[in-house]
Parts: sequence; structure tokens; C-alpha cells
Amino acid sequence: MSWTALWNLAWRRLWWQIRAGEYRLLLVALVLATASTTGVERLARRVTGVIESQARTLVGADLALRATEPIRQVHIDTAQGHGLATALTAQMRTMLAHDGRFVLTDLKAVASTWPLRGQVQLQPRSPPAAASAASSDAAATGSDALNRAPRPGEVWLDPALVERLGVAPGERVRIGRQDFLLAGLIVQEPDRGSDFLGLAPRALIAWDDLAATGLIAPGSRVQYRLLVAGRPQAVAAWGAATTTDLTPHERFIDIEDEQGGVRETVERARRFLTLASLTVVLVSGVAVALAAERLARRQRLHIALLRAWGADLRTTATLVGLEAAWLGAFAATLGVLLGSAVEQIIAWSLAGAALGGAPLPLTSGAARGFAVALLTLLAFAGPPLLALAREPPIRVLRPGRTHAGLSVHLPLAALGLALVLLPWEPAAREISGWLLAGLTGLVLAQAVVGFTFVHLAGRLRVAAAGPLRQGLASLARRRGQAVLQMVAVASGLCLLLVLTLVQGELMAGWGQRLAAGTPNHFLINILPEEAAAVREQLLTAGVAEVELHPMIRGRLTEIDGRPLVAEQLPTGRGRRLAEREFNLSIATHLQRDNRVVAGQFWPPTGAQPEQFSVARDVAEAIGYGLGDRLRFSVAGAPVEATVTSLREVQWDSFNVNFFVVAPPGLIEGLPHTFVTSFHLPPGDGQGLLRRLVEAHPSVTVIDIRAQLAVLQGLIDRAAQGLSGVFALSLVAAALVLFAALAGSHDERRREAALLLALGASRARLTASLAAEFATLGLLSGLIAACAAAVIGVVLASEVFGLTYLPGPGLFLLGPLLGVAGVLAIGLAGTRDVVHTPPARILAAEAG
Amino acid sequence: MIRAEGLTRQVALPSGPLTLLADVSLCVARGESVAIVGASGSGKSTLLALLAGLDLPDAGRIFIDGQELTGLDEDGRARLRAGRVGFMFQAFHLLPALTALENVMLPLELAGHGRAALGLAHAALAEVGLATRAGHYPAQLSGGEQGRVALARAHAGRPGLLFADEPTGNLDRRTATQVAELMFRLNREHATTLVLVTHDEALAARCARRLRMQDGRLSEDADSDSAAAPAPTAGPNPITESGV
Repeated sequence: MSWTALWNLAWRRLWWQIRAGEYRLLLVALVLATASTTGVERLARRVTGVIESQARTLVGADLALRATEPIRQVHIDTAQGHGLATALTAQMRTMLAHDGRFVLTDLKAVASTWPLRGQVQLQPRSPPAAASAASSDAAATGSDALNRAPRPGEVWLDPALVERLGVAPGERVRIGRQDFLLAGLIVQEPDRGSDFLGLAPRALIAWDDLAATGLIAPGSRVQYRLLVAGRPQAVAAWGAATTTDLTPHERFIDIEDEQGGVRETVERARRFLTLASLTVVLVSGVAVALAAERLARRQRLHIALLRAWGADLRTTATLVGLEAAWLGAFAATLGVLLGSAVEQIIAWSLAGAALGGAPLPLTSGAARGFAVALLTLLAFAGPPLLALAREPPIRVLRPGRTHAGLSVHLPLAALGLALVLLPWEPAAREISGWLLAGLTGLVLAQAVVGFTFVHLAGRLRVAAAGPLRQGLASLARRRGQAVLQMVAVASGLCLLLVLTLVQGELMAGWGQRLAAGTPNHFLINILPEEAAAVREQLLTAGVAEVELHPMIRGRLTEIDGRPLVAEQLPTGRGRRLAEREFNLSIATHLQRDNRVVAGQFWPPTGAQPEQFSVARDVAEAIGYGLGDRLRFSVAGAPVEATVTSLREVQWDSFNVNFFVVAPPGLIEGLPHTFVTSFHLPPGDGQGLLRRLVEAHPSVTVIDIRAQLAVLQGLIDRAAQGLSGVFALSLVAAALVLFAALAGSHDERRREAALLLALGASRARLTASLAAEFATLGLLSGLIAACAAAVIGVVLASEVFGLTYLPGPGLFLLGPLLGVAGVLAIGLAGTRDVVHTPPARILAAEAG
Repeated sequence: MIRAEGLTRQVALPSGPLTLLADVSLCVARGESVAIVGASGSGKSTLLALLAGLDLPDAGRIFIDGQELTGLDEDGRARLRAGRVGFMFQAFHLLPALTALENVMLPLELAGHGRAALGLAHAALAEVGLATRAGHYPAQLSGGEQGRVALARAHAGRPGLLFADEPTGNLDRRTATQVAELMFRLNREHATTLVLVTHDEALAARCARRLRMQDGRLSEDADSDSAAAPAPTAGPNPITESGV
């Protein structure tokens, strides 16, 4: 047969069957699966985008470029060409001088357009006592919020510097070769970032004054930044255009640059969304699989006839393949459009809650949607149809032949598909792995339980009476089909329950943890001789728990005797971590927000001193592990020890945490300061902070309340995104139920019509169907609840670092959802049987 | 036209192998009409499926127009059937999603009739008296009408060889007579070789030859009216008896 003839015949066959409603279920399943997958994918991307852009406001811009050489003019020009506002900054470490005193500072020169996002807060010109309160509730103290940079000739200083230099506002401070007028005391700067533990107190000057200081010289370590802000589309367009034109010295600042807490919060939000979207992908896949499997069964006669009329394998396979491809492409296109529209509606409905973000291109999320539709169709409908095309057609055509039972390819196809469809990039690998393992276990358990039950049902029906007996008999007779339905329904329900857990309890647990008592202030640069007094002062002021951690700055130089070369590390984060100084500390015990994931933490007393315990994420980024010997250079002196444990650090607890800690005895003698974090309830802090700074001028107070507010907002966005995903997953789960029940619909219709014809009353028929559906739903729901509980516990501890204990609610909700869902959809699907004269159904079936 | 030698077919059952066909041989000449009769389970339908190349024997050989069917794989047999063999199934096997016309068109398109398929299908339906029912779905047709559509479908491509498995088995007497009339008319007018399996002695009696299946063995029925049949083509084994 020629290609043209095949092409035409395939079209015609497809059209005939679509018109006759043969493909209706598959089409609906494909469209909804693609729509929910696309919608969820887009929603997740949008929310992630919003979250990341929120987190980026911590750098004082919508997007920021950093470079170790002056920012090239081309970048500024293109940004302005995109209609974006720009501001340049340069940062370096230098000395301030006043009246014979010298103090180390982190100097920042900012352009006149700075700040682009957020405001700088200065202390009002007020009595010196008030001025020295470094940080507190700015609004309460009446600090000046400014939208401008220092003027040429001016310097703004951290209050700690003022104390140490003994300088007063209006006096002059020397930076490099230039004198500056002290014109302001900084309470808060918008782009300090969150990695502040190693910062020296800040000095801010105007960009135009930088050259005059003479500090910029070949070899000087300066970090230049180009900050940009503007319309989201323009920012995105500029970012995309510039990415391809970066030198090795230039890169965009991203979340990876932020301190662990911010990074981890964003990461956790991403994980929640990834998990949610994965569950929808899987549920949708199950629905398409069921519909495809049903179609394959219904196509048996078609294919057998084609073969009987002389179609060879190639012709048959081409015909079936062409039809499936067209059908899949058509449905997937419709689904992508529908999914995009639904996502847009959800985004609009959440817009009141500030879930805006840049509009996504139409193709965003389409690839995953198409993959779900086409691959699932191929995997589930392909093998049985091809197998059929190979066997002698008479096996189907001979009268009295029953339809084929379940084939072993189904679970294999499901597993293969899950492997293809789940994302395996590093960020999602863990979630995908746990989800896949959970579902595989679930399917196996369900199959065992299902077969056992269906077997039991066959025996129980002898004892049962009336409609229940009929319902049980019906289940027992369709053994394979019943088990498949049970597995599918339970999988769908289980994923829905997991999502309910994630959206409800896990999400709430996360949100509460950040809200309740999270440290919102840091004290850094506490000198050893001040440590006891600072602790005393905090305890006296009512801070419940004060833990001061020694902090030693050191550079990692060697791993197992090999010099560390940052440029050779594979990931950007690894390179950046390797380039900067580490904060090392001494610990006698494991902090509450740390968990040992490999090796053993030392005992509180009598620990052998030459060992390190390291944060796992940092160790993985740089590439060292248990048993490796690390060598640090601390103020020029080498410190060496072996890694004896890896810690999972919960960075978003906002407690002080360290990449590397050592037991007492290894680094005590080295130069160090102390650092602590604590929670200060709103309004309580002003007096305490003022007294602290007065008594200990060297101490810098860092107020991170603004950051925490951003993070809280970010968690809210993730929660909103999840509720949108949840709505879509309900559609997908309903579809699974429908598709699962439709599999045995034809047979059920025939049987019901026969029963009616034999004189059964409609009430009895309905009761018998209800008994069958309720049993199926109850059992599926129970299995699903058990599986969801296990998956929930594992996900909570392994993926989200949360504690979750399944409550009785889950075990009620599962069976309830199962019975209600299967009953409602099952009875709706067979309603026409009960209300149509049986002869018509039997006549139609005979045709 | 058809030559079968030593066909054997067994199925494995838990109680041991069951022999459906035991060393069956036969020869059918072009344009001949042959009825295979016998009790239920005697192996008639199995033999018909083997002759049409829809199934394979465990032993023995089948030739159609001199080409050995049994030496071909599933694809090869399909190609041999294409456009040459029509088959009318006992359960009719009309595709429920297709109208009567489309059911008839489908094998025509597959046989490469292209645009002509529509005209041929209409003509075939008209021949069986269903021109006005072309747009109806199988469920909207009576049993007899479904049988006629199945016959139109089997015959529309003018196959040289028409197999029919209990063509009137599901029909009332009047409709059965109509369908039989049609089959024999086609057999006469188009010189179509007709091989049918039936329980219906009256239908069998209208065929030029009657073969009887009993316990998997085939014998020429005593009432066979060889004179009524066109002259058989030459073959190495004109005798249809086997294993007797």
C-alpha cells in the first residue's frame, strides 16, 4: 500500500472513530493530562520565578551582574537600551582613618542612581546616645529612609565604626588619599545581601569619589556590580541577551550567592512545587495509561480484521501509529492551550495575593505536556497493539474469544514512563527517586492485596446476600480488571493524599517554623573579652537562650594534600565557595538544627581534637567527604584535620551555623571573634540594642527582620502556588477514577442490561453496582492512605527536613475519598444502563 | 485454486492434547462452491481459518493458486490474502464505530482501491439490497441486515475466493435464504470460489460439493453433486478424503 493511501486511510479511520466516540475517553484523558501537566509546570515556573525575584530583592535590584573587573560599558548600554534603570557599585576592604585611629571597613562606592530597590535607612541627626543604637526598629526610632546615595564628598558609616574611630557626624574621615565628611549613620542598607557574617562594618561613599581615593590599583580586590531594575519582561530579556556575552570575570548574582537560610528557603519552596507538579504528572500519566489500555483492547477487532483483509505488519503498525500520533498531537495541542489558559486564570485569581510575575511564553511547560501525552500513549497502547498485529487474527475473530487479560507490559511501561517523565536533574532527583520508590512499592503492595482481596471476594460472595453478593461476584469475575482498577484508583488517591499532606501539614509546619521564634538579629564581631558580658546582657534582657559561637576566618587550601584550585571545580557554587573564606567554629555538641548524615559526631567531652565536622551541601559543592583531610590557612597559620562527620544543616533555621566545626583543642588559640543570633520580639529591642552598642562598640548588630519578611512572603507565594496545583490535581485524580472505571464499562453495561432483561429491578441493579464500586473505593482508599502515610513520612524527613506523624484524619480521608469518588463516578458512568431499555444496549453491543 | 495436504491441528489442554484436525487434505477448484458440514466442535471453523491463512496448522501444507501459504510468515500470508480473499465471519464482526458503508469501504481502501472504494462499496451495498441503509451504524441494523453488510464487505473487492463461516447461523430462515441467494448469485456471476462452513443442511445442499468433518477428519459427502460444479482444476490430490 502506498504512503498516500496509508495516510488517507489513517485519516479516514481516525475520523470515523472520533465521530463514533470511540476515542472520546482517550481524547479527554489526553487533553486533561496535557492541560494539568502544562498548567502545573507553568504555575510552578511562575511561582519559582516570583520567589526568585523576591529573593533577588535582597541584592537591591531585579537582576545584578558582578565582576572582578570594571563593568563593561556594553552591559550598561544594553540594559538602558531595554529601558532598565541601572546603578553601579564597587566594594572592597580598606582602612578608615580618623585622628590617628585606623579601622578596617567594607567600603562600598555607589552611583547616584542607587538604590534601585529598597531604601537605605539612616539614623536621624539626634543626640549621640540614640545615634549609637546600631540597629533596631527603624520606624520606631524615626530613622530616615532615603532613596539616594551619599553625595560627593560625603561618607555614611556603620555606627560601630563611629564608636571605634571616635568620630562624630560633621567631622572628617580619611579613606585612601581622600577626606570625607561624615554625613550619616547607616541603620539598614538594601543590598547588603544575607552573607554578612564575615563582613566588616560598612562605609558608603559616592561612585564619583572612588577614583580620588586612589584605592583602585592593579591587583586590588574590588567587586564591581551592575544593578538593574525595571519591567519584568525587560529584565528577563536583558538577562537572556547578556548571558551569552559574559567574560569569565562576570556573572549574574543568584540565589546561590545568598547565605544558607535564604538559599534553603527558596530551595525548599522549589521542592514543594516540584513535588506537587510531579504528582500531577504521574496522576495524569495514570489516566492516559488507563485510557490507552482500554483503547488498545477495543482496537483488537479492528486490527484482527485489518490483518484478515491482508494488511501486513508494516501497514498495520503504520496505520495505528499514524492515528495515535495525530490523536496525541491534536489532544496535546488542545491540552497545552487549555493548561496555559487555566494557569493564567489561577495566576489572576491569586494576583490579589501578589502572585504576578512575568507572563510566560505559550511554549513554557508545553514540552512536558506533550511528553506526557505522547509517551504515555505510545507506552501503553503501542505494545499490546503491536503484539496483536503479530498474532494470527483468528484468535480474536473466532466466536466466543474473550478479550486478552492483563499483560505484563503494563507495570513495565509504567516504570519506564516514570523514569522518562520524572525530572532527574540534581534539584529534583531526590524527590523523583522517593516518589518512584514509593509508587513502585505501592503498586506491588496493591497488586498483592488486590489479588488476595478479589480472591476472597469470590469466596465471600457465597456468604453474602442480595446486591452485595452480586457486586462481589462481579469483582471476582473481572479479577485482572478489578486489580488494575484498584491499583490505578489507589495510585491516584495516594498521590492526591500526598499532595494534601504536602499542601496542608508539611507546608504549615514549614511556615510555622519560620514564624515562631526564628532569630531575627545577629551580633557579629564580639571580641573574646566581651563575650561573657554580651551573654550576660542578653540573658538579663530576657533572651531565652544565648549561644555564642567562636568564629575563625580561614581559607581552604588543600584537600588530602592536593591544593584546592577553585577554577577546576565543576559547579559555580563550588567555585564561589572555594574562592571565599570559610567561617570555622568550635563545637562541643551537635546543634539542634543539624543532623549527622554520615560518620559520627564527637562526644561532648574527651573528643580527639584533630577532626572536622562539615556541612554536607558545602562538602558536595567543593568535593570533599568523609575521611578527607582538610587544610585551612587561618591568618597565615595552617590548620589540618580529618573529616569525621557530615552534617545536614537546616540553614533556614537562621541560627548561626558553620560550614566546618572542630572539637575543642584544635583551633582555640587562633584569632577569633564570637557571633550569636537571637529572636527579639517587635518593640522590645530598642533599649537592649542601644545598651549593647554603648557597652561594646566593636559589636555589629545585624537586623534581618526585613529579610525574614521577604522569606515569609516567599513561603506564602509557594503556598498559593500549591493551592493552584492542588486544584489541578483534583481534576487529574477525578480523571483517573473515570478512566479506571471506564475500562470495565462495556462489560458492566452488557451485564447490567442482561440482568435487567432477566428481570432484575433497577433498584437492585443500582444497589449491586453501588456495592461493587463502594468495595473497590473502600479498599483502594485504605491502601492509598497507608501508602500516602509512608510516602509522607519519608518525604518529610528525607526531602523537606520536617517531622511528620500521620494522624487518624488521613486514614479516614483516604477511604472516604475512595468510596465517594468511585461511587460517584462509577454510578454516573453506568447511569445510562439503568435508565436505557436493555434491548437497546444489547443490540448496540451485538453490533 | 486451493490445495491442502495432510493438515493437522491440535490444541493443548490440561487433560492432554486435543486433535482438531487429523491429516486433512482437500482440493477446491476455481469457481467451485464447497460446503463443509459437521457437528459442533468437529473442526470445521478451524479448517476454514487454516485455508484462509488466518491460522497455521501444526503439520501439513496449503497452496492457494499454487503458492504455498504455510511457508509464509504472518505478513506473507496477509499479503497473499490482500484483495484476493473475502471472509464472512460467523459473528459478522462489523466495526460498531463505522457505518455500513464505511465497514464495506475499509477493506477496499486497504486493498488499494483508493477513490474507487466509495463507488465499489455503494455498489456492493446495493447488490445486497442495502443502498438506503449505507449511513446506518451496525447497532441500527437488524441481524439480517448486518449479515448482508458483512457479505457486501467480504465481496465488494471481488475476491476470487470467498470463505464464509456459518454465514446464516445467526439469522432467521427468511433472512438466511436471502443471504444464501446473494452468496450463490455472486458465486455464479463472478465465478467466485466459495467455501463455507455450515450446520444448515439446506444451505449445504446448494453447494456443488459437500465435505463432512467428523472428529477432525474430512470426507466427501455422499450427496455431493460434482456434476453441478465447474470442472475441478488439475491437482495432485483431487480426492478430498483424508485419513479414511
